[in-house]
Amino acid sequence: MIPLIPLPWFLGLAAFMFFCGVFGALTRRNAVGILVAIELMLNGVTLTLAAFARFLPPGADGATPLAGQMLVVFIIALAAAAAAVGLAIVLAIFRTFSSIDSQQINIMRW
Amino acid sequence: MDEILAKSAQSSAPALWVGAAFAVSFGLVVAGSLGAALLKNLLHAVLFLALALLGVAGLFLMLSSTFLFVVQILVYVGGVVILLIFGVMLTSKMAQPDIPPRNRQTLAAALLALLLFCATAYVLTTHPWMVSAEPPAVPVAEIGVGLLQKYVLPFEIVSVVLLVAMVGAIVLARREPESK
Repeated sequence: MIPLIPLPWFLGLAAFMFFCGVFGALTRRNAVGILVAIELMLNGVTLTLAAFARFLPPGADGATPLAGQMLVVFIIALAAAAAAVGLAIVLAIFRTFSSIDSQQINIMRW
Repeated sequence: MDEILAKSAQSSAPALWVGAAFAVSFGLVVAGSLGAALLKNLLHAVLFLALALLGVAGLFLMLSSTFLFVVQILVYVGGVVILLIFGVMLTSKMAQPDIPPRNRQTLAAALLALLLFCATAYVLTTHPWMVSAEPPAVPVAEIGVGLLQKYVLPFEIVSVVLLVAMVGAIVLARREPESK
């Protein structure tokens, strides 16, 4: 079966998703908003990996479709862990400063 | 003649469906990403993120990775989005209208993101990828076997990382004892 949707469509869409996330992470003042943007970036990357795993021929260096899907599964697991820890940090900051404005949290600045 | 017609009808109907499904997923991802990055109301942004994640799940299905489709729905739409909604609601004091949602580097960040997106998209779409003629689909059973045989070490490491992250999140988010 020949794939109907060509590979560059997936790659371009993933790049769009990633850079939406970059913009959000750079500009949001709310720390939860930054977490949302980071999730967006991570998902763009997983989409790229899944597309490569599907389209590229198996390489001689062990680059099989199975390896690509494994990589995506591990990235999703680590992203979930990152989201949980990040949110816990945000809640701790909120309890300390009663604000999660990333402009006001500057105790680590010297 | 009849055979050819039947064959073309057989092959064009799935093509149409796949095209329509791709268009829907594409639209979901584009709208969801823009909304998640741009919307002022953070709760709406999280809901748009859920839309984008659903779109990516649809794209996984189109890449014939059914396992990733299920994982995406379970972990992201069912887990991470709920977690983020909790986060938004627990810290909702931030939703005061007098605090601008963006910092001062918005213009520079927009230019940077646009420039990098154009460069990346140009490279990704013009590079002559060696696409295999018959892309292999990985059955779910093979993924299960791979997780417990070839990739068992990373699997165990990730499980330990998840455990540590869970304990760490509980410790971080716990209220401090007030005896001091």
